[in-house]
Amino acid sequence: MNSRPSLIWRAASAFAVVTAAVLTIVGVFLYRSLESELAYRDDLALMGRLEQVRALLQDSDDLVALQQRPRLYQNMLGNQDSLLLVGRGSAADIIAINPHDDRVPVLAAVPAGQVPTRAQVVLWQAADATPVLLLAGEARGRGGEALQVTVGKRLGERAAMLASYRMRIYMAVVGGALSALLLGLLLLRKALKPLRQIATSVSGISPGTLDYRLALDNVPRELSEPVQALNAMLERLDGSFARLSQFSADLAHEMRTPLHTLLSSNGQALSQARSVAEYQEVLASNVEEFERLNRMVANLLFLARADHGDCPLALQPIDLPTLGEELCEYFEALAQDRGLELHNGLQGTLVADCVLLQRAIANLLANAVKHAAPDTRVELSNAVIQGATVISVKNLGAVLPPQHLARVFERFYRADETRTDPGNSGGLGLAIVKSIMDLHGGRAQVSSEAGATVFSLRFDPAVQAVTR
Amino acid sequence: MRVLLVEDEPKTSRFLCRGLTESGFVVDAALDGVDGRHCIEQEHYDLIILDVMLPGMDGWQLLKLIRQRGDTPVLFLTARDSVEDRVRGLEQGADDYLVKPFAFIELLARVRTLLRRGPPRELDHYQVADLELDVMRRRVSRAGQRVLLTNKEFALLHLLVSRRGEVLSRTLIASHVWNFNFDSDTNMVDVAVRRLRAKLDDPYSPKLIHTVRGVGYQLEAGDE
Repeated sequence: MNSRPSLIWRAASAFAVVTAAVLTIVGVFLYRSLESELAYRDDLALMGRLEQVRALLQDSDDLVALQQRPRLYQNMLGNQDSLLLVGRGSAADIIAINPHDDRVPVLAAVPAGQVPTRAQVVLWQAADATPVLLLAGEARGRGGEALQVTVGKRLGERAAMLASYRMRIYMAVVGGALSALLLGLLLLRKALKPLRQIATSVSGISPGTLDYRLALDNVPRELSEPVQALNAMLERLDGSFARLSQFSADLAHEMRTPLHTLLSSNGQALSQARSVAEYQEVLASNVEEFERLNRMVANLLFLARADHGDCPLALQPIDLPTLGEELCEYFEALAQDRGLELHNGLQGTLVADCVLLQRAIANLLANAVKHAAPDTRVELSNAVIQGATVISVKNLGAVLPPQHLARVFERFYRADETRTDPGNSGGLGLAIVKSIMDLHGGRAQVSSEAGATVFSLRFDPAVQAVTR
Repeated sequence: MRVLLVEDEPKTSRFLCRGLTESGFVVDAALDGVDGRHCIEQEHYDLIILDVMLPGMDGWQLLKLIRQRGDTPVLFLTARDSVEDRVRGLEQGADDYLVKPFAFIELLARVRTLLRRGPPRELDHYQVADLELDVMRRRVSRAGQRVLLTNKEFALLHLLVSRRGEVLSRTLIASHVWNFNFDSDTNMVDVAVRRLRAKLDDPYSPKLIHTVRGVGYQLEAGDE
């Protein structure tokens, strides 16, 4: 076993401790009951014996005869634990059954004719440290002669019996605890078997088998929650992994197009001698392709950095009407070419990173100007909805089908698969918008219905307050 | 003007040297940090272009050495576009930076700005061939005829005229005219230049605004 705590060992030890504690409490209770029961019986027996001897003395015709007929009290003879002393005074001159020759002390005698009580039984320590129960009483002989009787019982046997009983209780406690430990270990190992099975299943999952899900039917109730969590994690991993693979494939594809153009145009140019003008043409075309690649790499770097949160925000209050004016002026020429009217309806201020906000809105405007139907109006506006500032860019024109709506913010995603646009960096514009909103703790949304497409940037007030 | 270029990548070094020489600079090229230190200690330069990642002795150490010796303008080049790198360079006394990859005219524009020392000459009135531009009254005329321009068209023309003869990249134009400091996917600058031309150049001769393909735009009265 290594140094890390084992769940099985910990639980089994706890079982053992609890078992030991319960057995100890029960054992102590039983021991005390037995002890007091035995004491009660011994006391009663001693009191009965005193009465018996008193009656015997009363009924005996002659004390001498009594001395010579030990049968009457023979049950006490040969019994090493019993003690019987009968005498006329304090000396036991009539009967002395004292197997251990104990020097019995002088006791307060129960007066003749009075029934002894338990309180009058005395516990005395003999010379050999054995506890002895003693009871003394006055008695009358047949002739009314005053006699003194002392009955006693050595408790050695009782002490030994109690000691062995104690020992058995100790053994029961230790044995019970040990068996609880062993049984606990066995049972817990068995109970945790599903956990090991889950571990085995999970360890078999590789990037190629991310679609595997753990079966829930045979899993104990307590484990169904973690198993569901694991399945949900696999679901997310599977999704991310698929997106990552798709992203790599898209990236390779996007890079391949300009590379192909470069390779073929350069190869073709070098195949024979050409005029300076022709070489210049090739070089200029190369520069355009390189710029396209460069822009793509810069955009990807921006996205990667935003993903890692390595993109500090320079938050400041931004005057939205001014920003909108600048943006509209920038797109004005392009919009006029397409017969579009740009309307700046931005109002108020917003705390955000100025360059990033400008970039996000610029990407949305570029998108809107590109897709708006000719001779329509592109509107830039903002509103406060549930305390959140929402900036919207609206254009009229063909609506985006629902299956595209959910994916327009994905990297390299294009609603129109066949479109090849030389000025385009390759489907990253809206992904950058989403990243910028993520950085601001906001959300980028899109809706497209009834001939109008609206992209909106939602800046939540709570986040605003935190970042402020 | 004498320029020191410390750059370890031979191809980059070669084309930068050629480009700068063609633009009228006297260029010394050092291919590693130790070489660079030797040049810095032996010669006097008007400007030093420094790659940060260098074998032998890195750009930061050279920058420290340069600052100990005087205030020669330093432009540093970095391949890692991380904020820390840029901040570090500017904090240690560099005057400007460029992130690789960059277009040569970007470098040229930065170099010229650094060497200009002080703000560029702001004139109230420009004349190029038969084009006249009055900055104060925001009036433009060509061949004696008034040409009406929008605000941004005027700003664009003003930029081209004030940097007459220089080839200006689209990025620089977007940054100066529209305050756009990121590479946009849209060809806005081209559209704006085309509209400016339609008003200013198309009806007249000679043509003043020239497209330098793959590089940018230039305003020049010379022959086409």
